Amino acid sequence: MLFLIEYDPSTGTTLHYSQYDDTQRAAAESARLERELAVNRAKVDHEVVLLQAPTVEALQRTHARYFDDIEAMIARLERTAALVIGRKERK
Amino acid sequence: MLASSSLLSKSQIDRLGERLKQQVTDEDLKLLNDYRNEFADAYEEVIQTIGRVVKIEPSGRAAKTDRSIVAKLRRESIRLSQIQDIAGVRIVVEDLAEQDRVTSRIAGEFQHVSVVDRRANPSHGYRAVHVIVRVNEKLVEIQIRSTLQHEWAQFSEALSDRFPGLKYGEGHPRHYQFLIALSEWIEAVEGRSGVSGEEADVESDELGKKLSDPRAVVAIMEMLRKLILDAPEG
Repeated sequence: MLFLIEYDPSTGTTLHYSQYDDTQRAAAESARLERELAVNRAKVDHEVVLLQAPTVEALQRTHARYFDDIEAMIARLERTAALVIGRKERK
Repeated sequence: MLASSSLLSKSQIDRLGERLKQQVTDEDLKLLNDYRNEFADAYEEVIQTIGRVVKIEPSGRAAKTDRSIVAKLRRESIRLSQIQDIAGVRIVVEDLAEQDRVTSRIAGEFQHVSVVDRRANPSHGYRAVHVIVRVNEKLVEIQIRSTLQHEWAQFSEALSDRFPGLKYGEGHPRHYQFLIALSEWIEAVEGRSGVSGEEADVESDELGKKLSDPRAVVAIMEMLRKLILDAPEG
């Protein structure tokens, strides 16, 4: 699946999100360019990205910045560290 | 393997890069889009190969964002044609052993490949393995991260949104110092590749002492929240 995202780094906010099937790559790329042009003309510092992932859950894991706030990231880092430490201690 | 022809010559690509350093016009944005789209076939081939050899469906992007490309051109003395991660793929695996295994399997599948082990030589605290492959004359960067390396990287990126330039060593020194120390603590927790590392090479102040204990996860995260979330922005 393809995911078109417009993200405002200054606020950590995702302003646009849309999904496309893998067969719609040309349409998704065209939509990305239109959005990039609009952002450039508006002279705003937004990020426009077209990502590919097998599922939205996989995308949320590999590109959490577009979905989670910093507090959620700290919490996940904490959980992951605890899991890794627990696994090592059991060995 | 078919050689792909480029719509733009190397000198045209680099002249485009020089213009983008100065100003981004609609016309150049469209040219950049054409150039980025040339990586789509190579990217797709890499995705297919990874799925076949390690049974992982990675995430990624066939084209780096225009914002990131322009920022990189302005930040570094690099030409547009030299940027290696126009197309990029990301894989997250459980631990270092799996990271080594997946790296080896993937690297063995490509004829033109270079492996950059940023676990041994972190870049501003960023630790991962990057496998850069050349397919049909196009480079594709494959990022292979352990779960902890990945969570650090995502956190670092989000923090850099809040404090611009932080992940490249700019901004408040205390924030940068903490990110580096956190990276070193993660290295101590998960060990080094092939080594059961327990010692973190961190500074000797209170922060350093706490970070040197791999089990101090709760205390560390509390410090992190306090340091980052209570700090004024910018």
